[in-house]
Amino acid sequence: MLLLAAALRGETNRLAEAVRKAGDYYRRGLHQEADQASAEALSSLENSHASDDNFDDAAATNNLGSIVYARGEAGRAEQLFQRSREAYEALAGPDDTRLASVLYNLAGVCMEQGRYAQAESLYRRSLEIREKAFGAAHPLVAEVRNDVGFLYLQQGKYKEADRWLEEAFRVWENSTGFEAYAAVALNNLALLRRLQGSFEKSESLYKQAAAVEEKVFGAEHPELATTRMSLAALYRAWGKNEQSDETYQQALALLEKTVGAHDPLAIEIREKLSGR
Amino acid sequence: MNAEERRSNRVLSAFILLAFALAGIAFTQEKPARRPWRIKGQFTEACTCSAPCACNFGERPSPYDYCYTMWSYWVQEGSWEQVKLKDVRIGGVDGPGGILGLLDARADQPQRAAMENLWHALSGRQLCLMRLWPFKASGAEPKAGSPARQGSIIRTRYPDRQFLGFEYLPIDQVITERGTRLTFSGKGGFEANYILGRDPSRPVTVTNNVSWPIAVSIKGKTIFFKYKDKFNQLDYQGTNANQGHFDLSHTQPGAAPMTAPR
Repeated sequence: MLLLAAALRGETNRLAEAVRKAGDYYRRGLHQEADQASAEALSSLENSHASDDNFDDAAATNNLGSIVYARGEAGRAEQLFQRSREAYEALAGPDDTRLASVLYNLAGVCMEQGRYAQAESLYRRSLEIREKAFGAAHPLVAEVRNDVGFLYLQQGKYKEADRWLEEAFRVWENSTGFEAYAAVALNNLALLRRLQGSFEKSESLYKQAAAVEEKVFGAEHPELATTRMSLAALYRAWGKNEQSDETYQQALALLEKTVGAHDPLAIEIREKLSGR
Repeated sequence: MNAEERRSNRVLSAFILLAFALAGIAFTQEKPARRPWRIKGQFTEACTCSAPCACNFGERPSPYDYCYTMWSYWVQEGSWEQVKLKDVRIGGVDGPGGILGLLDARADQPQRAAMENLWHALSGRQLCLMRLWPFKASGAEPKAGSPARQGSIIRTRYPDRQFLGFEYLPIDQVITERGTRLTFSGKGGFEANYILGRDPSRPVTVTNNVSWPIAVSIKGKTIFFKYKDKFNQLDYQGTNANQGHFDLSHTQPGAAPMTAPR
């Protein structure tokens, strides 16, 4: 029995170590190495039978899901988040804040696959747990509110989107260290205003978001390029084609400098510019 | 095989399939029970905030925009499943380099496994979880029925605080009528005097402390608060301290979520 426990513990350690390595490689942009470490972690996970009763396995499984999601494997990520969710439900109960984070991740995968009803239900459960644990004005609560607002935006429910996104922005704006998150909400609000026909307000919000991102990430970060792309799209919708082209060019230059000319976003911009 | 036998075989096969299906449903619906545990003892903690630590009242840290802590649960009586725990300490340090679990070296192997699990339960191990980056709209107009697109380059992120794992070392926790002292051997610790109230015979106490799972916390002020390892280095004095009795179990873990403002 002790030998079995030791073997399971060894497997858990291997899993946690492989996931940690994969995360470190991913963070450093070493994607091939991250994929190798992820494959090792997945193999270790398949050999692990202790995941339903072990906090380390539950956390490592969630983190592995996040890494494979970032590498574009949404289906695999969903399976891993689901496994982590079941482990936390069994280990810690239905009101655990860690479970809320896994539910949040699971909801994100559902949203990207267009399963909005399922995503909304998972977000609302995550929100319920976090609000109960942290209170309404907490950055983690704002995180869920932002995504629910985004979900409503996708569905054309502008009134609801407005309320949820504004609430998220207010909390993040007043939370130290969450400036980059506030910029996310600003981007969402900017698109909302554009879709509502308030082009000037939208422009102002995009510019505000870009200023925050430049301050947080620096002037040469690809995240800034995505906001510029959105601003360029606004100018296009507004009929300001010259400003649109100029802003797309700025975004393209930044992407080529930071992530390379073959990045899908760079290709997308070139297509937009040549399509006019 | 005649027609009667074939019919019997079909019926038998159907029963076998049904039995497997029912067993499968029962198996998939079965959830493992939560592991039973209960611990009682004395909790000792100090942090870098000024006394009485605004975080203990659900507010932001003060005077700094962070609140680094050292703490220890002195388990005087308890168990994790079948593993008995007596006179062992489950502690940690939360500093700028991350959070390190510090556990009592006097524990035997089964107790160590139990203490690590308890540490997770007590800390509300939110820290080690990666989350997806919140959805940022791309410039494209959403199309009805089509999947959402993450407009951000950032896909996932690490938690704001990093969990650094566990280390085993001798831990000493001394509680007197006048104050407390916590020592993580070879790394540091703190000593605090209780803060006396208007009635100088009694220390100031706070009930229902937001940060820590103790019913009543005696407030103290540190004489020194010093710690050093390869991850963290802390050196403060005159800061906040808490001391109190704890009685926690798997149904009442009392874990203070460490991602809450502290």
